[in-house]
Amino acid sequence: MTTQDLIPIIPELILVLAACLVLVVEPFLKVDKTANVAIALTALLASGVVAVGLAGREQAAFTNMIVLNEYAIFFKVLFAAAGALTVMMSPRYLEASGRHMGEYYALLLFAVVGMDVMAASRDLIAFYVGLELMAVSSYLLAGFLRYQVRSNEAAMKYFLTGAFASAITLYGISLVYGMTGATNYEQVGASLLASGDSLAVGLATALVLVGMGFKVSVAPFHMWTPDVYQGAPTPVAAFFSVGPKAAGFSAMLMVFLTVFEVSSPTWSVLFIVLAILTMFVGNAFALTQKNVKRMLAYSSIAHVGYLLAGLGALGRSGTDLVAGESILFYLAAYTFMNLGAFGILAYLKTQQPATFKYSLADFAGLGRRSPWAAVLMGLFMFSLTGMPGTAGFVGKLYLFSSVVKADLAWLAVIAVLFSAVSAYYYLRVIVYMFFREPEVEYATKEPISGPLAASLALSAVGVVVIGLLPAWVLDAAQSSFGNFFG
Amino acid sequence: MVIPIEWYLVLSAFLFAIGAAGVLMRRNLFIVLFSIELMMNAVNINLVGFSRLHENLIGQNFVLFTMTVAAAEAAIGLAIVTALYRNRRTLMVDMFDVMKG
Repeated sequence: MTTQDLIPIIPELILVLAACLVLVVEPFLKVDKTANVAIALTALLASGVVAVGLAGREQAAFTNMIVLNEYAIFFKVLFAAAGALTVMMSPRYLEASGRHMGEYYALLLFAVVGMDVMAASRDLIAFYVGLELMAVSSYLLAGFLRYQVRSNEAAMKYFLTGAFASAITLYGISLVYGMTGATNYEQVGASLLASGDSLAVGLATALVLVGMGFKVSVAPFHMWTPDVYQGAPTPVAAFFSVGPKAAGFSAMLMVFLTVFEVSSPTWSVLFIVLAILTMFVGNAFALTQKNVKRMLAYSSIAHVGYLLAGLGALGRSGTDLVAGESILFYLAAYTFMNLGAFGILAYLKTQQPATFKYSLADFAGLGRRSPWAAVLMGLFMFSLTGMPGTAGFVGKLYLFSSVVKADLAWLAVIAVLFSAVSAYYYLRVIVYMFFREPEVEYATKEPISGPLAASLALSAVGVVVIGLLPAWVLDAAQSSFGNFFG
Repeated sequence: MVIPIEWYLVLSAFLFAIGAAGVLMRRNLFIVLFSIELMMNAVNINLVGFSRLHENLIGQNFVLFTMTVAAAEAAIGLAIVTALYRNRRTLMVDMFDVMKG
């Protein structure tokens, strides 16, 4: 290791130091935790800004385990943004739950570091360690409200499925090492290409796919998702639905394109089958939900289905990388709209900690009681549906048209049909907010304010700006994906 | 006599299968945690065996990382179990069904 090796990981070093600082400062703070919120927020912003500043550098570090390139930077910025938006929506929620502690922010920062490492790794060992750093922090975040049975159960279910999944992934990785004698992506990929496709390669591919499928909640490995999202603290559920998912996809893109290049006919078919199944399960179960938090969990499964269709298209199209770019774009668009939707839930929970149960009935008459919350929720729901003018529309447009370009027009038709179905459950929330009278009359105590308001405003701005001016995000996605493989 | 690589693979596959079956079928949370450990250690046998086959140290290196991660995971798992047990007074996994649908 040389000092030069530290340059690619400066954004992560900032986050790790800040997380340690948070833990040191925590015992000195009594009730007011503003200092820790500020440290966490500053660190996330600094890491994002430094990552942008490093753009244009191409560097491999730690004997090619970690690289710095546009692809890694795209995800470093995305994860820092997701982390910062989550931090901003957390303080009020945690105060209302009576568990406002600095450890929360430290764990969140560690999770972001793990995600960064996953996106930047070019070695199966680094990938595995990044995955586990993210996962282990996430288990604890899910169970952060430890006096609530639901939070305990969420942590337990997340832990058991997560640990099971990483053991399966690890077994696949060990087979890859056995076949090639290396763990570096490029070396492994070249070695597997030279020896050709075989049953053992297929088995290793399937094992890694199943393990990662658990992590990003691909049906039929999605069973834990609704329970974990429902039981975890709402800002944490918001983070889970975007952060670990985007990190999972960032690593899957790399691993399947470089390591398992030889078995791309196999995995692209697997991804297409799983995409259809995941879109069906996510949308069908979301239709039946009366609980908005669970509905958003199933909707996140449905969105994973759309992304998997893109992965399948990427495996089919080979050298044409437009599907990869549109996956990156979709992840960026999805981050803002989903964080926003969960942010509104977090706000409403802080207003009625005892009575708000996230059910559709609780949303009745919200348009009159709290117009801002209702309008923003409406915007995020429109974006998740894919209405023109929002980020969700542009994301789906690019993603589905890249699927069509890979000669999978029938798959794009299925995806469009499923997203038409999804309009029913997203717009139902809007109908309840604006056209239903509440059964029990109650008023919100205070308007949206403070960091939560900033978080919601930034999410809304992100949704609208990406929706109306998609070019700059698309440029970033194109240069980060195209440069690496081009 | 040099032990052939197949022996390692068969042992590891059996241990992994036993672990996976334990996770899926046993009801006691502790046994499930042990089963996950068994799966991780089956992988370690694989890695060490392959490391010998290829005569490089990457596999052994990997095992050090896996063991560290497994230790962290066990600590977290036990912490979650403790918190859960304090609230629910049971360790049977099929009793944890507050959330459904």
